[in-house]
Amino acid sequence: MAVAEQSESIAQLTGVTKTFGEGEAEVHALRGVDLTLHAGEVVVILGPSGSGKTTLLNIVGGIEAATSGEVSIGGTALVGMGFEELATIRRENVSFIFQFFNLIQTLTAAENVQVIAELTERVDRADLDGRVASVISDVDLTDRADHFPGQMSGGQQQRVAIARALVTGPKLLLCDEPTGALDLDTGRTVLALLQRTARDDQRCVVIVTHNQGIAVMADRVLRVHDGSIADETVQEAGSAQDVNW
Amino acid sequence: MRRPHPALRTKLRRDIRRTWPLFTALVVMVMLGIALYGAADNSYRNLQGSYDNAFEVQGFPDLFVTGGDVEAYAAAAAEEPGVAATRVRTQADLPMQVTSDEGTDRFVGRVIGYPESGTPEVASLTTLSGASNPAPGSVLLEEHLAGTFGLTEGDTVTLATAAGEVEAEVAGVVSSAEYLWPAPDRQNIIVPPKSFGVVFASEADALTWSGAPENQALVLLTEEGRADPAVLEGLRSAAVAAGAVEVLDREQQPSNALLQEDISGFEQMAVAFPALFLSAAALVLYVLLTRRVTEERQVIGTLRAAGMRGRTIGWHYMSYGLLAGVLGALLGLPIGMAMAGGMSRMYADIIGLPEQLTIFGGFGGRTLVVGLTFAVLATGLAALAPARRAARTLPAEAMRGEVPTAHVGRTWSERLVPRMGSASATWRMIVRGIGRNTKRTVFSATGVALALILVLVSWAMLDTMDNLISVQFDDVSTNNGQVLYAEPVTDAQVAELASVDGVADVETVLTMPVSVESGGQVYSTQMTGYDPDTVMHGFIDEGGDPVALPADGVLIDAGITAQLKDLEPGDTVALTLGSGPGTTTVDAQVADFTYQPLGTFVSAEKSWLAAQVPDAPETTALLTTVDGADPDAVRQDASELAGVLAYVDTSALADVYDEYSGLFYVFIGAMLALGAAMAFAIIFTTMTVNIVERRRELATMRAAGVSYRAISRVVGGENLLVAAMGVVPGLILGIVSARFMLQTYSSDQFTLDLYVRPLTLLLAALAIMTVAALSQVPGLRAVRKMDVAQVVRERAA
Repeated sequence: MAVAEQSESIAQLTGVTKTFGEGEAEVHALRGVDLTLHAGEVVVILGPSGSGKTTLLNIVGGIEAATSGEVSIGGTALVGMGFEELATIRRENVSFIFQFFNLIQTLTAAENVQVIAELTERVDRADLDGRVASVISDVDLTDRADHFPGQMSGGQQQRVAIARALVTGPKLLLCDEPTGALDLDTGRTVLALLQRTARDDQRCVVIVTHNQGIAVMADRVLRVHDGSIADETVQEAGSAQDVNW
Repeated sequence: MRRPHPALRTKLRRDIRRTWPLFTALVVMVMLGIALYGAADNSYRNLQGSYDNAFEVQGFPDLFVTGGDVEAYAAAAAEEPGVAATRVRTQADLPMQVTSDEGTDRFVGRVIGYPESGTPEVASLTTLSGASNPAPGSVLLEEHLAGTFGLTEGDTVTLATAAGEVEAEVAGVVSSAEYLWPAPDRQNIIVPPKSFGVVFASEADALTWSGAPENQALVLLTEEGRADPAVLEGLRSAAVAAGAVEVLDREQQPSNALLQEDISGFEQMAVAFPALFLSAAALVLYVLLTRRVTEERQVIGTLRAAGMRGRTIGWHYMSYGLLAGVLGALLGLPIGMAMAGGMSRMYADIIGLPEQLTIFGGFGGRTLVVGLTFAVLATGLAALAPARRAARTLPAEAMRGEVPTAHVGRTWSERLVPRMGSASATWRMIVRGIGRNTKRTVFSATGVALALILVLVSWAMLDTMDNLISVQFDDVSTNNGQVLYAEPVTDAQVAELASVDGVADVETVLTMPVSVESGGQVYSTQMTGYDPDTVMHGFIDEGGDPVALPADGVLIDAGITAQLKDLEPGDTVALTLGSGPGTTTVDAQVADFTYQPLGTFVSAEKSWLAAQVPDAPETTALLTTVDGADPDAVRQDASELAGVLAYVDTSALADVYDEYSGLFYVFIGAMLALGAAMAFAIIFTTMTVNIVERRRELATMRAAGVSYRAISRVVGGENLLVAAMGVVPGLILGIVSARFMLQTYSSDQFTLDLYVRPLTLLLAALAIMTVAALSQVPGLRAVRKMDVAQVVRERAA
């Protein structure tokens, strides 16, 4: 039985559409997408540029609103929520990882993680240091904790971004081209981390990519084409070390 | 020169549209600076031009010599090269009385001799109504006197003259450039209403009424004579040698001295205001364009790689700044010129400068050219560095995705804050954020400092004036009224005055004109002899500590050193006491300098002064009133006592100053508004640029679920910290600037020592910080509305 069928549902999309622009300039980024995401699974969303995969990711994460349809995270419907309500939902359930890391350049690795923990108030002050050290250790960056982003490689920066994403204990980890700026070996390391966190912490990790080679590590592969899920494949997930591009 | 690239022109238009709030802030700052320049410069030119015209038309003397053999002096001076004409006249201060519907007012006015026909070459008058020359038995009223009492042709003024009481008919109303500001002398530059006035009588009448010979020589120089300082110096020395008790040049003439200070204030404002605002605009523009060039590096690199010339690209970014400068100037100049028209007319009306003497307008061309030049220079210079950077961008380097951050690691700002090691990551982010772009931080803080200087200079001047009035009327001039008698005051009259309802104490004093000579320089003022334990006058030093009235010698107010620069306590001076034929010259030691904000006087013990001038009549009594006494009632009752010639209500003088303070409050309000506008524009711009630069970080935090309030704290905290960095230098420089401004206005007429209340410093700083907080609102609203999904995908720039 696939991971998806065994685990609790983290997020659900029903009949979701997204349209940009008006009239002749109207673009249908998503057309009636149905999707359920489960704890513990790695989902890879594949598709060419402009297929709607990033838009899908953003709508799941609540940083973009669907034009129509229903979106829920942890049973809570997102449609009709204001900015701050959505921020609260994200704070409690969702973390993002981006292609270009988006670290704060004036903070060290540990401080990048700590500042999110402080500002989201998801970690008690008394536990802050310990929690930060723990996630930094999880991504094998303890010896680089006091280094600034400018002093790190791309892979190390992305691992900091992962630690930052994990410090709030999200159920859903949304990754937009997480290896897009990395070489193959570094990419494999990052993907291995993501796979591990899905398995060990029962998180749902969603990876959006145009890179076919990453699909091998997924529990489920969704191929998006022209705003629709053209194909969905449930498979036996391979190792991140099997990833090749 | 090549025409601008059409695509870049389109880009420029769209860039302006896209950044319209910032562009508008820039244009507004330039506009304010140029408008204030136009207003101040044109007002200065209008008023100075009108003033110069009044001097030209009326033959305003270059030298006023009083006392000594004026006939001989004038005759000799007329033969000197550089002298256009001389005239002698009689001038005397006499008790006068005007009866109107409101009652009878008694005051000491001035009678000045004037030809019965024709227009003299020196010190003529401008006729406003009625006769142009006084016939025997009639007088021409100086316009302020006519206006104060509502007098016109056919009314009468009663004078207590040497020949007895005279009722003189008013034959006309005139304007005199000597009394545009009707001050009796340099020591009494502001007098209460209805306590002084000037009438012009025929020379024969003036001689008769004063009981003295002609006592004033007037000297008018040629243009060449004015251009050579040696001419005036020679004439001045000759006057002193001829026994003059007072020698004043144009700059020292009381009315001219005060009005020139005022008018030169406009000239100073014409430099100070545009300098402040254009500096702030330049800072803002530099920050803005530097950020734009950094953001558009890849675009620039692509254009350069495609073959576009660096100069073309550089000019594109210069255009943004120059356009703001030109627009701001074109908007500001007409506003400024309109303001100048209104300000000039208002000022001319206040001082009573007749319309037939005013010359307004006609300076548009010069103001336009200079204003545009200021604006273009300021914005051009600010845009130059970023434009050059853009022009010199290497294509290959620019087209790389990430721009390496200039700084890796802890910033200088962190070293300024103690115990950062144990601070939260959030606080460290805020503090380090200040140091991530040092230039921008410094520019922002400088802009805030400039705004604070603008506010504080004005506010400090108000505090100083308030303190001046308090010291003058609470600590120094402690009497409430001055009563002038026709004859020496008797004990019975003192008792009678003391019995008036509301009067607390009465003391007689001995007063007389005095000229102080030291080191070849002469200073003329009033001298008063007091009782040793007088309560009518306080003698204090600059620190506010009491100074004892010497039994032998004199006290002189320290303002005298504005004229007698080398005089020091302990020196011996020659005092010429009295006026007319009864003068006495004695040597006296200056026991100490005293501090008096308004005027410069000489004081001594009454018994000592009486010993020097035994025949001097004691015709003045000073009084204090009980708390709650009605000053008008006291004035009325005292004026009606037998033998009283005039009553000066000292508290009314304090009221006059309070009235002028009211105008000052309006000025402060305007400066506060301008300072706030400047601070707002600066913080708004730098905050917006900060947010644009950090939008990926902020979007990432929003994506992570950080609340808007938390982000506001971080971003707002950083900007307020930068603003706060400008507060301390702003306060210090504001105080230094205020002190400098006040020193330029200080003279023997006003001793303006800077006084700033601690509360003023606090309020000024709070006001600017409040504006800084408010100016963040638009930027923070933009954060709330940020398209998080789009921003998080951007590459760094």
